[in-house]
Amino acid sequence: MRRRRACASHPSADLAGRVVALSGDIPVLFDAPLASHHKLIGRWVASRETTAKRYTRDQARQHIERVFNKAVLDILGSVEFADLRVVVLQGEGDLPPGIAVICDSMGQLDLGWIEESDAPIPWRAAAYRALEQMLGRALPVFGYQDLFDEISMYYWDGATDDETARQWMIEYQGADPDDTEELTLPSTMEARRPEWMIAANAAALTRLPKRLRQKLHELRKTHGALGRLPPERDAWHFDFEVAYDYIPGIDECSRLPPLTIVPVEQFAREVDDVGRHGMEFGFMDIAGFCPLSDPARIDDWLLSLRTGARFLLAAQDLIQLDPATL
Amino acid sequence: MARSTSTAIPPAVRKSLAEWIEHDDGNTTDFTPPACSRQAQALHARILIVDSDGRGKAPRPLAPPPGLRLPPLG
Repeated sequence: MRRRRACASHPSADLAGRVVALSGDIPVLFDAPLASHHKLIGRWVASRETTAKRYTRDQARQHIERVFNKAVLDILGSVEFADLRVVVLQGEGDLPPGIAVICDSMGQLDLGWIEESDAPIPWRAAAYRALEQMLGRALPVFGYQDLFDEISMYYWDGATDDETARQWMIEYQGADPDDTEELTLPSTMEARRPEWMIAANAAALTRLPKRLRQKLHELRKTHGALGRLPPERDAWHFDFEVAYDYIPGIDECSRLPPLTIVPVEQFAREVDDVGRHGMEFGFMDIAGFCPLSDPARIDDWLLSLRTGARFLLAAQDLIQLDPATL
Repeated sequence: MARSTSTAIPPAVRKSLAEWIEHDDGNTTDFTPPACSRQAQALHARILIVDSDGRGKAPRPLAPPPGLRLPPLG
């Protein structure tokens, strides 16, 4: 049975069992003129409109946001292995608006069959090597070498061989010279890498199953397309200095990206160590930042967003591959 | 409840998207404040004493009501 509505206006919320209604007669509160970023995106939205619809200012603002959000979600919606979000920022002073692609995921990327299956090591190593080499072009992600470099700077004063590292730990960190068995040294860290992480174990392309070869080819092709975008038109290009003008707060964040391709099962302590600052103050989670002053460039921006999404989908396809079907 | 046609507050202004973007400087000149009742106008007149030239006087302390003495200082 439908209950009769007590009020002609639309209920906006149910609070404590009562219907709270806002009358349509009340002019929109908290109203303010459209800011530069709404105007920029709005010009792009207006250029695509075929009817001369009339809006209140608030409706105009919401309409602009809805159309842009839909365009972005149509492109990013199928990327599931990392949560990405797009934010349009209003530039202060003379700065034009800017569009940021932010990565909301944190921690180790799910590597699927590469990490967990019983597929031959040369296949898994080939897939891992490709991801490790390429993913950074779109995602804020760090790999084993970055982790090793961070740990080396932190514990061994940049040393990469055991003897120099051991000496440093004894002289400057008070490690017991007779009991260095327990210390993490460059070689013990290297030795913890599972075989599929080691690039030298990767099979040559010609020795891989056809479907895996196709997935790797698609990854390489889309990665190449992303690399050919001019930086000023690339939604995935990130320059710290440019972004800093818009978001000065990133100065306090860790310079480390929030994602890693290093398996935490083997390197939990090291990943925790290097991620401590980021866990407290935030990671460098911007995948791309693009200042935009011309609404005509928004289509280019969306095209570049799609180019990056294609690359990420190729990576996702590779990770979600079922090795039993190869 | 039927919507009153003689509402004191006019409905929000509607424009095309392009008009909002190109010709909106934020001045809400379209908005006319609701008419006040005579009592409200009289109250406003008592709050804001307007000179003959239309400018408001600098605020002065209100005179205390008769019979209410301030306590001696100190």
